[in-house]
Amino acid sequence: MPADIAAAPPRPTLLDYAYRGQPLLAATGMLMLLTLIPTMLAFALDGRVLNGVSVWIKPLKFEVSLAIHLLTVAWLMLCLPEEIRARRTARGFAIALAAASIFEIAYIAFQASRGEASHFNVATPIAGLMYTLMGVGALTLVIASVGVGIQILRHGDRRNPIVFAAGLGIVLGNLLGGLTGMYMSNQTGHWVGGLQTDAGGVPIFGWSRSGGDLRVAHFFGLHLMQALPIAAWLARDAVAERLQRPLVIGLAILGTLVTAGTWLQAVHGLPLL
Amino acid sequence: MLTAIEPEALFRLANLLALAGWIVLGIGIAVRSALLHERIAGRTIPIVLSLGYAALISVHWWSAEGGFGALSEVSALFRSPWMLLAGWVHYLAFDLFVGAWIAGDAAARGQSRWLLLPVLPMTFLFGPAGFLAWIGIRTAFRPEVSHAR
Repeated sequence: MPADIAAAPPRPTLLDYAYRGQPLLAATGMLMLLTLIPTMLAFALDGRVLNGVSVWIKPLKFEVSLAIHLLTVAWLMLCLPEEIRARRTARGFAIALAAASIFEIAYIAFQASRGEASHFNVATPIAGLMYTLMGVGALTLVIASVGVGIQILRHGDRRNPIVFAAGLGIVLGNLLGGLTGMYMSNQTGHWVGGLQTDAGGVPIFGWSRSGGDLRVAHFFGLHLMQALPIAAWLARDAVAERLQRPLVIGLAILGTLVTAGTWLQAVHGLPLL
Repeated sequence: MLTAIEPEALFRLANLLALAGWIVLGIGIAVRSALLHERIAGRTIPIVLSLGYAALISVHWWSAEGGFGALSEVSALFRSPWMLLAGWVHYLAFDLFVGAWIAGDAAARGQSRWLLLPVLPMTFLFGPAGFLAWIGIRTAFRPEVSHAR
């Protein structure tokens, strides 16, 4: 076997790029994915039910969504020049994101293990305090993510539509996700009318099919942070270069309208489907 | 004269010894002392606890009912306070040994000691869950994560 082939370094995987972008965020995201394994085992062993579904559905959902959030930010930080990424500001955002995510998932899993609600639980002063702290944690996630997005818009390569989509997607996605989340947390629950159960909801997501569900708009708003860069990346060869930026802006407007529309739908007590 | 000793007294002694071992482990990690961490917490105390276990089993195994073949047999085994004590000492010895191994593994991989902060209390309280937490953390926190500090 020729030595130069044997010595060739392996091609970096998608995960390697996340570690390159922001090692702490990649590690925390990876940890969330690994935590899925014991959570799924607990899910299989546990017959206890909350809101009509297994107590472990909620930790599973948050492990998946926090992993996606953290890995997305880690990947998109590759849009920043290396010296900006190494600065204290960027590292501070990463530490805040990792700490808030670990706090959220730890409490959500702890409460699931006890068979109790985490969000909207104000049954005891401690549960109420923890629910407030979860709000602080969620706000930390939004602010630190928006911070990263602003850095990408400021310091990233302005001519590259993918970098523009990454920055805009993180900022807009977290603002819309944050606003819909804050409104939702100021209600007594995420349901508006309809049956107060996750059973019989939209597959995987559990969104109500009998009444409004504020989680729908939260989902569409937040995931603009993936949708915009993915769209820009798909368009990189398929769409004329001068149209790529307008396409990203158009999609951002469309996404905002979808978020607002699904929010209005839920507020009026109407299911998505 | 040792025959007068009650299982309850030995239980307290074993707990005290294990707790001392965990404290020594914590201090050993904090001050980076191989003597405290590897020799005392990782070897000496688990060896002493294992000696106690071996002695308890040698003396009381034959008079206890039950066995390892079914959960009901294990339950019968643990109805003997001496076998229950032996089982507890088994936990204490192996949990501490695993805790010291985790700390050594972290050091050998050049991992940040801060990562041990949630892992070792978990190993102390819920042995295998702490071991699992460490395996997860060492998989996720590749060396470059610590080096980026």
